[in-house]
Amino acid sequence: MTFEFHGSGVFLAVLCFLCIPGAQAKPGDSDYYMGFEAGGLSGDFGTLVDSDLYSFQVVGGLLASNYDVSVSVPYLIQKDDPGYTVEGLGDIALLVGHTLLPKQADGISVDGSVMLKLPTADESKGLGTGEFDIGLILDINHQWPSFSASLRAGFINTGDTAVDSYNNSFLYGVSFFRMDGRFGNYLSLEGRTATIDHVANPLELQIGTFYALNLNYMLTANALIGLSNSSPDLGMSAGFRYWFD
Amino acid sequence: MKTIIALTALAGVFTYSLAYADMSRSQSQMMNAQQSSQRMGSQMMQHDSMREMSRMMVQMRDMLRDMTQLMDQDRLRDQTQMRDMSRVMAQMSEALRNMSSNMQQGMMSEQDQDRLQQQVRDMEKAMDQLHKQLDVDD
Repeated sequence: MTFEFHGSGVFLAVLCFLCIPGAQAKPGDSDYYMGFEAGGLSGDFGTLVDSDLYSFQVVGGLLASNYDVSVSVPYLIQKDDPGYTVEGLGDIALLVGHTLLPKQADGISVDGSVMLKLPTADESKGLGTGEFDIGLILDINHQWPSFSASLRAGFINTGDTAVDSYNNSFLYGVSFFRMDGRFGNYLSLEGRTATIDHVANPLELQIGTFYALNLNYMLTANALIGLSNSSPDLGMSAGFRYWFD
Repeated sequence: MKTIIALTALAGVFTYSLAYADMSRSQSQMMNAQQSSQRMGSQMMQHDSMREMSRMMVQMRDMLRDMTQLMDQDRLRDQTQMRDMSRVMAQMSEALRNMSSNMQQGMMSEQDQDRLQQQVRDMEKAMDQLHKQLDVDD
């Protein structure tokens, strides 16, 4: 029953989002990319087990003036403290974003996004819950010539399994982006309510950068620092992005 | 009898340890699943950050494209200026040649004529170098 609710609700939401007037692609108005990222997270995420999670993910997407679509397909290797190692395809994440308020004269714009987590990870290995999750997120952005800031708030409807019931999660965050030569740097503080009971709410600080080698190739790097017990202690990732002409 | 008791106890310990391993494995899987549910929020925020980063990358690409266009425009302007200069020098050289020819028919010392001709040759040499430079730039 849960599956049906999530499945139909999710697809309906994504379909509605795509049908918002103006969301359709205009010829020559979109930038397409593909990329690869490798990284690791370590910590207990508020559970009783410490684990190291290594991820290798292919990312791709397109950006148009008033909407964007992105997808990430991860391969996960998880090593737990007792010595178990599991690996396999992770949950595929799909995000569809749409500009709800185009950039105004004062530089303010508002974006809304729907994110869908497909239960592609093997739940018997614990690499995923085996259920759909759907999230909604709202970004209020302010842009200056080479600097921008975003305030974000969101909600995730976490799919319950037959055995476990997870809490839905509220998200909040603030981020800053700045261009410096061929570098683009960002800093963000992100928090959310925990999906499992009796643990602290996760809070994380992220620092990231990208470097444009040329019009097509860009390098990316990101570091994550957990600020609460239920966040990963530390995370790092690096990758590259290819932009199609 | 003792052997049977010992074997039974050993089998019991073995079964218990297997059951314990199973239990701890399934507990580990449950913890993994819980961690996975916790990660969704992080994954979503990262995706959202990735979207912001992608927008910055698009801006960066636009800036790089503009820079390339400006550099091309600068190069074109420099080449046009050099061609104009070369044209002016050719006209000056022609004027000097005419002047030299006229002077030869009038009252002019040989020393002055030599100096004038040397100036014409220097100017022609400078003009040749300018033409060669233009060919290299093209």
